[in-house]
Amino acid sequence: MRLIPAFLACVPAISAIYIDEANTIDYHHQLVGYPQRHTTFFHTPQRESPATLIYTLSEHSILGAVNPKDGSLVWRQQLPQPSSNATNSFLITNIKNDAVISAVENQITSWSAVDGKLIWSRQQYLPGKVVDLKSLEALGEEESGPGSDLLAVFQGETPTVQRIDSVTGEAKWQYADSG
Amino acid sequence: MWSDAGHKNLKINVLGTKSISTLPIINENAEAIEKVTIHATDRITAPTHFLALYETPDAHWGEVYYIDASKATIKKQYGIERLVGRGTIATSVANNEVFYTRVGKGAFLVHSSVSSEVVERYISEELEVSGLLDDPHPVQAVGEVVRKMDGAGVSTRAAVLLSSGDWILILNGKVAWVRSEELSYIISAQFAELPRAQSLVNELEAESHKTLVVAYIHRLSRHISDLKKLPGFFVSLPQQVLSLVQGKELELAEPQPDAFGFHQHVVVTTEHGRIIALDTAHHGAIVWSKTIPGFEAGQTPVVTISDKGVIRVKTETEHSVFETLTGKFLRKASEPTKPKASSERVTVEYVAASDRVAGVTGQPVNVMWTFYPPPGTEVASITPRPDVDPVAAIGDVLGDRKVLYKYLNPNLAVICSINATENVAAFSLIDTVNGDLLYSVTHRNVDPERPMPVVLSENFFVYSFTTTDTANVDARGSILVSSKLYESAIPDDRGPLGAATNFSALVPPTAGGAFQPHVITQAYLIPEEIFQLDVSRTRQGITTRLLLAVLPNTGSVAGIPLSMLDPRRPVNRDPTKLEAESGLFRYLANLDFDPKWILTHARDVQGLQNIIASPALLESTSLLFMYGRGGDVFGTRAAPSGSFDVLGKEFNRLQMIATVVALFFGVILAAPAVRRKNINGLWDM
Repeated sequence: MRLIPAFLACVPAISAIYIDEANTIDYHHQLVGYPQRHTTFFHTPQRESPATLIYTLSEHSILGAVNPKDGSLVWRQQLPQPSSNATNSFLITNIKNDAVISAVENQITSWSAVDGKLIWSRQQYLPGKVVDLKSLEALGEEESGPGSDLLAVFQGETPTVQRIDSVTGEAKWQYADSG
Repeated sequence: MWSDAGHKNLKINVLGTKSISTLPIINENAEAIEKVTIHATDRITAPTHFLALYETPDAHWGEVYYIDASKATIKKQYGIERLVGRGTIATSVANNEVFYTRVGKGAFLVHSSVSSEVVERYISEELEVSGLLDDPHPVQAVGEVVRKMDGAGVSTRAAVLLSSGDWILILNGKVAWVRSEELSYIISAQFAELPRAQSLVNELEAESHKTLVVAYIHRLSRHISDLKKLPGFFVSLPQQVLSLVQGKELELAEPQPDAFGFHQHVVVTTEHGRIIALDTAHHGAIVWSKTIPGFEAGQTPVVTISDKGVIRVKTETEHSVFETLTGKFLRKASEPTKPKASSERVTVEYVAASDRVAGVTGQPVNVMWTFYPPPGTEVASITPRPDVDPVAAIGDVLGDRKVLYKYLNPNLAVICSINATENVAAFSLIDTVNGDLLYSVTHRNVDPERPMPVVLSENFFVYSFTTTDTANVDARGSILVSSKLYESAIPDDRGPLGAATNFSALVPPTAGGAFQPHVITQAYLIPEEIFQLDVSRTRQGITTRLLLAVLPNTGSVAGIPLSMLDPRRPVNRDPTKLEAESGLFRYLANLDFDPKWILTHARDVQGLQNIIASPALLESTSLLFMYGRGGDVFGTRAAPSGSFDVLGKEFNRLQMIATVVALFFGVILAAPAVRRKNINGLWDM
């Protein structure tokens, strides 16, 4: 009886998972957490095709895109967690660049809507935390409207408003309300 | 927009004007309105309607208003009828028309801003989400409505978050899919074996205690009742044979305990007070889900799995018992009776404060021993040996057939204490019955903020920490330390206890000294930080254990074979022939995680923080389950020594059967010839 464990101890235990059992013996639930009402919406990632995805920025600060046909997760990104529960996070669409733009705390990031790759990210501490983010596209169509840039309001030492270029992420102008 | 304190009026101020319009809230039954929500779109080009939804605990209704921007007046368009049960609204815009999709219990309606008639109505008995045992209600919804091509009606879908944490999509009144987002809020998890495997054992035990006649009648009646299952067995026989021949696993229709024990339930409790059971054999699907009675936010309910197929859930106010298989609420229970303290068994409990650990026994509490961690440090964690930790071999066999006997003490605990200011961590191994310090080690330059997981099992303990940079060395890294305990350093020697059959922790064998084990330790540099450690468990402990490590940096879980972490590995020299026979190889300071060890293979897994392991009925396999707060759920089976007790898929059963059949016919055909030859041979003699 002593020989059996001795033999097992000698077996060079290379434990590996074979490819044909890879998805049958294990299971994985890809989760994002509870979706928040103001950051969840249906959106078509590409203007050419009518396919829509459900985008959500959840309570765990995970930005995810769910396929509405079968509920599978298409892509997700983990954003930095807000330091307190009172901080809001924002998610808006940017149709001209086929992107969705998220704002959590100090960081505003633009992600490609169809596959979740990073386009640009902007983190700034001086103006403070983002308290609102709006897209100028909501004001009208591209040609006649004011364009597809973003307006972000920050709560720092003084409340600040910035207009951010949606292609590069640079601030076009900034107004600090010192009054 | 806002409402007044009594929820009697809705006050609206159009931006740009100074006037405030007051609209009365229609409350026919004079109920206490809990919440008033305004639903509108944020598109400038959409018509300026909004819907005010009033919710009470059992009903909801609302009104749709129209703001005329040119005249700055607000006019009521129509009211939404009152429905019993809670509900929510999803707003969407299509072609200059605002649609309000209303999701309530059993009702799915679409309203439009154009007319007051309901555009589309679907009524269903209940939300068809399988596994939910209580009645959840919709909390929030987003949706889209599209007018159909022929203009007759609309096609609508809404993604609704239910109060049970499930995120579902309702497409034209039917549930299309369910995402169980509640699973990302798991705070505790345990494996629960399905109870039916025990029933035969119980029956046999019951029969053995009765008289002969009664036992015989009992067995006859049990066999007759088992005969009822015979037709079902015959029906499933061809399918079973086919699946065996093809080598595929049989998908069982009902939750029956399979022969291998892979079918278990994982019972998890979540932050929002729900208890959910997942099925490990059906891809982690949710079997049942319900709220915990008596749960308050912030509490951690205590879940105990009992052998008889019930689960006890204890919160601070209530104690309920559920059935493991179906989640049915059985009864409210009183405190389970603690095992009576008899004169032969004494239970020692140990409690920890930040500056000491004390072992107490009996009622009233009598302190038996107190352990103080090294001066300056505070107790950070205690890791005991698991309750069920079977050990198959009592010693490690060396190359020359001598044995190093393992130090197997069921009452061990490793106490990790940290000095946060001086970056010192101390690990102490104590015997929890008499408080003796068996082994102690102190590490300097340890980062106190990083996780320091410890695991203790059988005769070894493994822990990990991250180093800080010091004045001389800028580098930081993670270190994994593995220690093994033996009764004596000399092979074939049992130590001071000799071959004694009894061992008392309170009476040391040598005067004035505790029986300290011989500890062999080695440390390795690992490529990334480990958040949590655990070992795989098997039923009889014969299989080598796998050290499971959660690696948050790469989002994966590694299963490290313990032969890699054997502290007897020779340092600075190659192993001798005897050492190589027992499987040791040269010590290298770097322990790289072989990609074949990663249990999560190619999956994109995020946020795992905890692992639990459970034995299957098969000795070679251990079931694993991993979860994390804000993270995914992942489960798998690990066979650390290979599947040595199960025929693999490569075994060609069809060929074996064909060979047997061919031999059978060959024997029948050849038998007469062989018999004739034998008889002729006898005549020739």
